Amino acid sequence: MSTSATDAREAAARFCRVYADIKSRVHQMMVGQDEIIDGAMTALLAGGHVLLEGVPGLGKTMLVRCLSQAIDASFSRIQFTPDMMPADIQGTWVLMENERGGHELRFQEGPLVANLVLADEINRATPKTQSALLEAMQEKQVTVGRRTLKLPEPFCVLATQNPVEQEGTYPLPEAQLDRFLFKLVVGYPKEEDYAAILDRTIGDTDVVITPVIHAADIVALRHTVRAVPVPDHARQYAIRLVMATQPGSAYAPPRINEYVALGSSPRGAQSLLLAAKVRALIEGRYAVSVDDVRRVALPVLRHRVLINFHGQSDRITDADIVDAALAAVRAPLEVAS
Amino acid sequence: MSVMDSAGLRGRLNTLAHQAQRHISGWQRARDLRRGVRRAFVWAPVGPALAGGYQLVRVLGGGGGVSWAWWVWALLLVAGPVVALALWLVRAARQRSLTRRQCLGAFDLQLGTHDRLVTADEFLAAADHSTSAFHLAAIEDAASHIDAAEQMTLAARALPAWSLSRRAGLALVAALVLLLANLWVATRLAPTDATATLADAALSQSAASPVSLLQQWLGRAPAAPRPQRPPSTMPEAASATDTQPDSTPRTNQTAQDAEGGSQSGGQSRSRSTSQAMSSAGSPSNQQNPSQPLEDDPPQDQQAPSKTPPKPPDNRKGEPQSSSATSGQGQSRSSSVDRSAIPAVDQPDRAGANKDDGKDEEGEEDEVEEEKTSGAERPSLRRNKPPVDRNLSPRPAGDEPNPNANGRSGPGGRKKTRGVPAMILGVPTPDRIQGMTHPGRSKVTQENATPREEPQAAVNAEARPPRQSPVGHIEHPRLLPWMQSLVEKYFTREKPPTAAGSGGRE
Repeated sequence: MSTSATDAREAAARFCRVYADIKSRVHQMMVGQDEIIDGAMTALLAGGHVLLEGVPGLGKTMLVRCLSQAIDASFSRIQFTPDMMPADIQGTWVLMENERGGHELRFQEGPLVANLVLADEINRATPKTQSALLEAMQEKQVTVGRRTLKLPEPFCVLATQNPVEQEGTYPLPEAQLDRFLFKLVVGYPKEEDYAAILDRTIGDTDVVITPVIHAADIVALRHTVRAVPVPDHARQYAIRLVMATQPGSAYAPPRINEYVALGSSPRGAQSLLLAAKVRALIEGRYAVSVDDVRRVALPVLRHRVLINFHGQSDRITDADIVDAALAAVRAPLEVAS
Repeated sequence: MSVMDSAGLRGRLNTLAHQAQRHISGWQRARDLRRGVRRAFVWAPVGPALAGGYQLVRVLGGGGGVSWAWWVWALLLVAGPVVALALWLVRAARQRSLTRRQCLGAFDLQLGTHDRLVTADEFLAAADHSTSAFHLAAIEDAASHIDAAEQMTLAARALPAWSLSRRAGLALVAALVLLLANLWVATRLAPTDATATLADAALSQSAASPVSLLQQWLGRAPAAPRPQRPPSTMPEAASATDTQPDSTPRTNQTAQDAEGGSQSGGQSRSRSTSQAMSSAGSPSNQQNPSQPLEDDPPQDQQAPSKTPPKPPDNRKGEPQSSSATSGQGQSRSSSVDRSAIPAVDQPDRAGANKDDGKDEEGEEDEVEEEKTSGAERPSLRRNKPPVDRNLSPRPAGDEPNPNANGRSGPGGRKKTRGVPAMILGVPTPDRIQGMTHPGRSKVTQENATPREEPQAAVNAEARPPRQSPVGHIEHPRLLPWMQSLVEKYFTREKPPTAAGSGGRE
């Protein structure tokens, strides 16, 4: 038994070490934005996908590029445009000449077949193309014609979208949004970070990020994450938190009943606990706590609630809804005051 | 981790849980007590209200006020809150629940250990069923924190302040007011005094009601029943009473009016009914008591017979020289009286009184009176109330509409009807700026079953060169004259040309 506990401690220590290494590599180029980097890495290690939202120029694409450079894995970037078709990202059958001079149909893989996929400005693609990502993000496979292609492990989609230029865009459908583990809202950097950003970006020295981990190691770290146990009280809290976002449920506060049209699905509870497991490991614990669930609640749940017309007219944001749910649900450990 | 270690850890966690349970239970009891006190005083008026009700029943039953000791009243004041507090505490105790998880969680929250103790306790309880490396690591991780928890004491949690809610404060004030009112009534209606008062009251007014008796005891004279007059005539009647030359006490005059035996009252009622057709809704016809005339038709048989006719008084009794009488065209009314007559009545009146010499005499008297008074009166005709144009429903009977001011047309209620009432007067701003509502779109779906249309397979084959015209060409049918025209055209002989060639064949 003791040996097993030692194994767990070693696995957790390795996880923390790798996490810190990747983060330090990314920080060679990225300045500040700790929460965004933590969120992206948490999603990568938990086996989820990330939707980065922010105005242009905040380093969303650079963050994904730095992350891909810190990990020795295949990386592809897809710049989504309105005229892009599903075959452009999934791949298609093309007629090619073989060695014997004849012709044969071969499957040409699209850019989706990679470990890390940067889906830049994903909301500029048509729903037809966006839906081509559904199977890839959930099942980790691509089906073209009669052929189903397993995507390489690890597979992680890091998508970006711009919240201000909404003209000519196609907002992501709920089914697509639900497949993202996190939605991270990238904000402006702090004042003290501007000097470092300018020094690193307009100088004549190129920052080279060397990889610290291979793709196979990411898979091992994901297994470590999955092994972290979830106590009953933390699971109960996550369930109640998800139910609190559903209008009409027993835990939904009046604010949510009034302003929310659609709450989080059970996939939200899965995402909560997966992300909470990563948080527990990062903080050197071996089990999930209620605080871990609380910390990841906002990026996990904010894109899974649909605000109704009254909420939009009253300028209620998704963050307000998640805050209301957090305030309404009491942790099982707490005694009512 | 060995089994001994597991048992040891569970024992230590048990100790911590019991310790926390005692601590939290005490805090919960204190919290419930304070909450109960905060809410219990809402029921403070119950005791004084019940006592007041009991006292009222006693007084109405002729028993007099209660004479309780002071501590009984104090007990009544606190009876409601005490009972409510007891019920609240019982209910709170039943609803109170404290789990082992919450007890250990108190240590976790105070130590900031991120649920390590609770997690370890849970994993230890389930150690027989499922144990993984991370389970054991979590238990071992909690061991050091259990040591820290054993060396600390749980901090006292904040209790709600001793305070009264706003409702409870109001209820307490109401309870005190009720209590003081009860005490006051009880002191005024002590049983010894009440006996004598009751005897006097029985002697003086045998048929008095308990309410009037109670009012007498309280030192108030019983209110005389109101004379049945329209509300608008009350000020004039009061002034007329004040200007009576005799010094009759006011109470007697009021009593006389109340009995309805006064001539003026009787006349006024009878006139108003008789003039309903000609001067409907004219309040001035009814407001001045009239003096009976000889040739007045006897409309009220009892009223004139009971009271002697009053001498005519032209100086101050002018309002009493009735306009109601003048409505019959036989009055000696002055210009002041006529000014009180509605305009709609005046043409008729003028026509009816054209040959009446008494009116002329009255006018002469008035002119003389004005001269003797040395001052010229303003024309009171200008101050006459305008015509009542109020279209709202009138009250039943002959009484004028008390709300009728005679101004303008329909009132506010009337104006709220019709088309203007249907127009939304309050503009509702568009709260979403920059977004226009696209309107509702109606989608109609029809279920249609697809029909299968079998098609023969077409086999590709080599196409031979064309031998015949493709398809059928239908020639138009020509009429006989058309056919002959065409025949002539093609069969005619060519005219000879100079060149010897050319022409159509």
